Amino acid sequence: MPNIKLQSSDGEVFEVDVDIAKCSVTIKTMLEDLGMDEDEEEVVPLPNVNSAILRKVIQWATYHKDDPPPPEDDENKDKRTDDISSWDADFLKVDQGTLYELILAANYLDIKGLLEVTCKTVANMIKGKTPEEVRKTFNIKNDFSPSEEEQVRKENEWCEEK
Amino acid sequence: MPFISKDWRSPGEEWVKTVEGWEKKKILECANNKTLSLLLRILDFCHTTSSFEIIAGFNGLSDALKRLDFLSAVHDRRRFNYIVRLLDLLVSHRMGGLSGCAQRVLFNMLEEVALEVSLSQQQTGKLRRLIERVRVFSAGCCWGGRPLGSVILWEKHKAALERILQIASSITITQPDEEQQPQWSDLPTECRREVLLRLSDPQDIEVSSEACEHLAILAQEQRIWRELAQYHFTPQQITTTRQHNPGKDWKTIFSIARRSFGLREEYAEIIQLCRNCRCLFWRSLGHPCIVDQDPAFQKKLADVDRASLHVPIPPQTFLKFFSL
Repeated sequence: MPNIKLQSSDGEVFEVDVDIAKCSVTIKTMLEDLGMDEDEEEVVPLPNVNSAILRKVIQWATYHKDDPPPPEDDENKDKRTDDISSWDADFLKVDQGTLYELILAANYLDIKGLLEVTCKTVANMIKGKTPEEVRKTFNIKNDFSPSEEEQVRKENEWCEEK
Repeated sequence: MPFISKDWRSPGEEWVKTVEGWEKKKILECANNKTLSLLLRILDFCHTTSSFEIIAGFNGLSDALKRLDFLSAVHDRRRFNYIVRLLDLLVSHRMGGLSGCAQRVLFNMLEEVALEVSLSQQQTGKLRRLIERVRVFSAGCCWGGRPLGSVILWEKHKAALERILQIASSITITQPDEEQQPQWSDLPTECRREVLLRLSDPQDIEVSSEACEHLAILAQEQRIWRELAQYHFTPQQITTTRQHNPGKDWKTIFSIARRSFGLREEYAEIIQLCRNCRCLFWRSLGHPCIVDQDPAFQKKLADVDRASLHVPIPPQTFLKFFSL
């Protein structure tokens, strides 16, 4: 199997199987467009991903390398969030900062599966909570004025009928 | 001589020889690869899932909940939602009809749910809702100042509820480290939108919109509500709703369609019924079918569509098995 060298933002170089690297659509397109030769000693720079995150991304991609390709359909209708596999759940037992960095990396590298599972994990942190609890979970400030807050609540009232 | 049982309409009871003597056959348990499962004998299982006739009754539900291991399944992320939904249905409408034993199992399960929620810090709202329902029920269960039924059992229920309340009230959401980078608010809009798109309950979207202004703006987006509608309703349902309500935005379309069609229920893991041996089991734990080894059944199976052998059983249907 041919390998490819990926360089993180802090300069560390990772040698990865091309097939694994290609689960990133960004890298795949890059390789196809540039027509890189397999025996060429070229290093692909990834200025948006640091080495700690890149290591995790490669770990994820290696584990999932035999997954069936995600559906091309852009409008993903899957909204189940409790079907995260136990491997992924363990993999994502990280602090929030790392989780967000993984989302950013998955978004930048265009790895659909990783984006899916990380966003699901964050969505699970919202589910079934009150606005105050959501604020606490994400460390966000309540930036509504009292009248604005009242208005949003009014707009949302229809939702509470059950 | 014809066999005459107590109830002349039924074929009579079946008796099984056990170590301690003969016992009436009720619920069979079979262990297979460490999987405990429940065999319910279901008479005449029809192709439409709505028309079952079951002889499972007796001490059914509490037994079923125990044998299907609902207690430890609470801690399985994939099965949590199914169980919570089942509990919700039970405590909302059917609590009064349960046997004392089943009520005890229910309180045990509720306690497990509370522990799980306090551990994961997720789904706090669902726990609060369950507790509220149980409180309303237990408050309304008195007659002349005393609860109906066994006093000792009620004392136990009360103690359990007390413990559950204590667990629930001690749940505090740990805030992320403020020094840590990046924070939620550092994520670009497209990433935060991706997260909102993963929410299937409209209430969760509304709650996020009440959390802060940025989320409020996101939750106004048409795409969020369009995809939510596409998830919950079939294309046909959406087309009809849109035809009847021309020019309406997606949020309105969603709420109208919701009133007419109801929301979709989906679980990562769901109880399955094997139409072959009438047994209920968790899909992930595998089917403990004993008739697999039976050559007569194998022959019968030859001309049956294997794909339709296992039927998923949503919580509503599950309770119907026990005439609840």
